[in-house]
Amino acid sequence: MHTDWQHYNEREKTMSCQEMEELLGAYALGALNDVERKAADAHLAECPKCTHTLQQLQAIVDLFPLSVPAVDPPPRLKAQILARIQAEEAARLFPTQNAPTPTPVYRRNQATRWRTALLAASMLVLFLLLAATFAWNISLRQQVTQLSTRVAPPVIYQIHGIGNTATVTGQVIYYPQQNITVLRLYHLPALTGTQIYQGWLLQRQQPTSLGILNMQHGIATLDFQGNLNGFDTVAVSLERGPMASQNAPQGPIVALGMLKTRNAAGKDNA
Amino acid sequence: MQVGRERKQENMQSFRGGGFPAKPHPQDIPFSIEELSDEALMHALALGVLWSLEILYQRYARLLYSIAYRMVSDHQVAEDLLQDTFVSVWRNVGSYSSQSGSVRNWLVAILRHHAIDQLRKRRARADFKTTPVDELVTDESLTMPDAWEEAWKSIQGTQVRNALKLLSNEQRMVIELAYFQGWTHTEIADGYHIPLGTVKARMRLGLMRLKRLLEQMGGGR
Repeated sequence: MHTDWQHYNEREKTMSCQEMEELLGAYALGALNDVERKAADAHLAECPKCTHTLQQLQAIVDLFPLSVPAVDPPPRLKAQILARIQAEEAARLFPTQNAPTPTPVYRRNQATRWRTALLAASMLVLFLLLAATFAWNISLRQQVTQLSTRVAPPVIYQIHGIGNTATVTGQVIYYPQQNITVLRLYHLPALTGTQIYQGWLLQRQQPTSLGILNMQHGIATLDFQGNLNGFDTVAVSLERGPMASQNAPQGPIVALGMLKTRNAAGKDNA
Repeated sequence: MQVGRERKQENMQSFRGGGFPAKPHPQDIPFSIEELSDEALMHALALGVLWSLEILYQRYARLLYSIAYRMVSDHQVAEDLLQDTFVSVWRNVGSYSSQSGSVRNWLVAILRHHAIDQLRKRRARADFKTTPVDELVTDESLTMPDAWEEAWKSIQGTQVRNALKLLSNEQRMVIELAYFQGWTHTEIADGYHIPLGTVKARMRLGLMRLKRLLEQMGGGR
């Protein structure tokens, strides 16, 4: 018996295990329509047996990408993708420029249009960079004026745990008046043996050690003289210890913070 | 803010725990940030760190492009799909949850979503013309002798490929149409004039046979 689940109505009928079993292959292959999938999801939410069978079939389907003959994307594509994202970000950060958001167009033989679009995007990015540099220059002048009359507030960036340490929270705070930066983390797992937590600053992918964090009453801290200029990320790694690792982390990264965050208003915090 | 990078290095010599080493040459670094787990990269991406997207691209662009090309058989469209996939990842990274599966599967799902949209539009324009069965089951990429192995050095991929070859033509056809062409089971039944129950059974039994074959080969999960 094959039920027509295209006309499924949740209030009228629920799917049996036998009916679900018939659909499991199509479900794993993503070959159900939305209505059928909704009916199947309702059954799976209450049926561990069918869920288990589905997981087994889904694991097989998840291997299909490995069976595909390898084809390399053109080397230029990575730069195009990053340029498109940067252009969209620039347009978002400077909405008054009315920068058009690039929309995907699926047509064959559009190399010329792509080149034109890329050229336009490049010019837009260049224009936005020049505008941003000009605005930054003005902003710096204003800051110099303000610093002569009042104390600059601390600059705060958030740090978050990752993976198994997702509950970790913290901040890195730069105090301009004292020219001191303080790193502070909460809820880090307790250390065992000679293990240490080590701080890092990164410029793109190049790490620079800040040294070992001091653990007291479950709070890890580290402070240093200086600011965060020139770096885009702060990271904390769990190291074997007892000495700090040289040059780069040897253990897993447990927390990350971006030193130039995107806030809710779409403004740049750096 | 007043202290530049050179002076900061000088200032940081007094750090607790071993000080601040001179910037090493990239070749001297025993650990690369590129070794971060996929989940850690997703977390960094959620914070807006663009280089984490670059690393994900380095890891998965080839796989995703290969799937895209397998699905649409057109390099220009495959490029568009790869581009749309990574832009979607950047825009929607907050929707990723490690509890719902691996980053690789999430990326593949996004790519397939875009590709299936594209294929459906293409089918609508072509007035739903079906591919002849013979053309599907003699797909060159499935029957071509081992030339592809030179380029794709995955033992697991080899096993999956070999297992797919061992399916009946009927089972392989419905799996191929559903996964790589984005057809629903009702579309396959209508397009190829096969009873819907038969399509469902071929899908389910085909996947179960694949599972057994991969277990025998030692490649199943």
